[in-house]
Amino acid sequence: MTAVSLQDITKTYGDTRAIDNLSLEIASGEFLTLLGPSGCGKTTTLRAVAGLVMQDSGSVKIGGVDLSSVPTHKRNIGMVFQSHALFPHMTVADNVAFGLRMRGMPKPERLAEVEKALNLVRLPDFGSRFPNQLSGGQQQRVALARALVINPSVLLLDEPFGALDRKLRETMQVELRELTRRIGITAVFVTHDQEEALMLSDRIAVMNAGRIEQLGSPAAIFEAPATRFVADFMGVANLIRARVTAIDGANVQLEAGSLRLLAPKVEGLATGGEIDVAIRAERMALDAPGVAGENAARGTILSAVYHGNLTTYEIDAGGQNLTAREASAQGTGGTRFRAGDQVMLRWTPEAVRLLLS
Amino acid sequence: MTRLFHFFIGLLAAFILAPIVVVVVASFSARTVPEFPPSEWSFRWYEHALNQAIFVNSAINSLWLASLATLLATPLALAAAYAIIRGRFPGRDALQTFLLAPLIVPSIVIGLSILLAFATLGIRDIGLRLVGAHVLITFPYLVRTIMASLSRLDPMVEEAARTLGATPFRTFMTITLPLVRPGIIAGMLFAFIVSFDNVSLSLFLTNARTNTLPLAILSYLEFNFDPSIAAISTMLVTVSLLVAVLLERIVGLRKVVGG
Repeated sequence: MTAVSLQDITKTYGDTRAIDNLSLEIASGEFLTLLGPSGCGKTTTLRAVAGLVMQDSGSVKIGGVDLSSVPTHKRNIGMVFQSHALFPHMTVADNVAFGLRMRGMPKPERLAEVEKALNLVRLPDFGSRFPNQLSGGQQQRVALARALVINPSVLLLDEPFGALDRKLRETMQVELRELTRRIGITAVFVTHDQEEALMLSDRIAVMNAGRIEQLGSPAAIFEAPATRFVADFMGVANLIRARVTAIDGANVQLEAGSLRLLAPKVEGLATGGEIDVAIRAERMALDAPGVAGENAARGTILSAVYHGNLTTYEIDAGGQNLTAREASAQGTGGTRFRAGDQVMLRWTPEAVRLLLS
Repeated sequence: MTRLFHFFIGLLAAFILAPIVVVVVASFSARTVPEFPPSEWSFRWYEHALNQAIFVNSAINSLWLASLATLLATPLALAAAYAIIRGRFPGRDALQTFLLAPLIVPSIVIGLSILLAFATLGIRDIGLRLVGAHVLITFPYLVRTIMASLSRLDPMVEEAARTLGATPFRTFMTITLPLVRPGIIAGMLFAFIVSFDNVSLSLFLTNARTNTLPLAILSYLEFNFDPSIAAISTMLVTVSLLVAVLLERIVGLRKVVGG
């Protein structure tokens, strides 16, 4: 069942299109992430679902009901903001009870619901404190309890962990993932952090310039980026412009300078045409020098950077700059090769991803 | 460095406080002329001042005027400040400048133009004239302090209330208003003081029968030079000080004034 449905949403600010004719269906119980760089329209899209931004055209449906012109307070949504946005003049319990009070729930029931919600976010004894007496992570958990207690049709999260330090952020991510799955709520999450998106989501919508560039499972987005933008944003280091030299059976042969590539065939290719090719750095294997050929190139190490568990090499392969990344070798100070070393680069056809746009 | 700095701070404080100290001390002199320090001490000029009908009546007038002007200007200023801080409309900056104009235009000019305006409109009632004019001069002080408070309130806090089902009106009453209350109270205090000791505007709008305290003091001084004026001044300073201390206790004046 569809929980949230956006149809042909457009929103312009002056000359810029913050959302450009965007359509999106979110299934009930699904955790969907809007991922993209700042200014891509992801927050505006989330705010359009909440009714905090009114779209110029298009419709917003929640639970099958058209809410396009319904004000925020009648939409029954739960929202968590980056700056937690707790009410500083109210206790934690009053913060959580606020939505129930607005719904006219009698006090005894309200207290029971608040207690349940605070238990859910593992803050059972914090009801009488004020927000400024809590740590950043605790504040965000209260904000989550406040949004969930009203039993919303959809939970909206706008970079909720952006202000937390790395370790706390990871803990909160695990908690959020576990919590949303357990109560089976539909969630829309906004972030610019690809790792966070990969880890939390059932599906990811990568956004650019107000449009969805690619929509798919975390694995699909990571392994099979559809466009140059998505590949680049998902951290693919090797983006090469190549020319199609031959199409035979299941494979395509390509050429980029002295590099020769073999890739699985995709539809819509023509011999002689140019196309962007993506190869992840960790799919490039490094060897002692050998014979060059298809998916194998000779090169010279330009730099070796040790990151701890990984080592990244920049390689000049016949005028083409390539990046390879591998697990750091043990006992050699980390790096197997040094700048100036001659090496052989090899990769499989499956590692070569053809980007159609 | 810090010692030199403290020295200058002390000098500045002395410069500001010295005249007030002189007035307070002189108010206790027993002679018919203010003396500093007094050769003889007494409370007689306090008694004298409080027995003068002109001071008591004009003080009551001033209290009424300052209270009414403040109470009328506050909701107007709250609405204006909210529109300027939260609103997105063309001419917002121009409106802001325009609303603060009474701070910049010399009050003599304002007084004269208000007098002319009231004459043109045929408004003769002195109370109405005074209240109208004082609403105008207290308004910018209120707008400024309330704006300062509002601009420190994260709009997302109000948005959170709306997502939780609060109508815009309930959001304003349960979230916005309690959170800007310190700014409103500080603004009201400023407004009250600005109205209470205004001379230049009231000068144009009062007559022989209806007077405000500052004008009564002024006209008394034209013919008398006894310490009763110092006594009144001391009483005013004491009341202001008490109000400031009380406010500091209740809302934290330093927080809202930004010190």
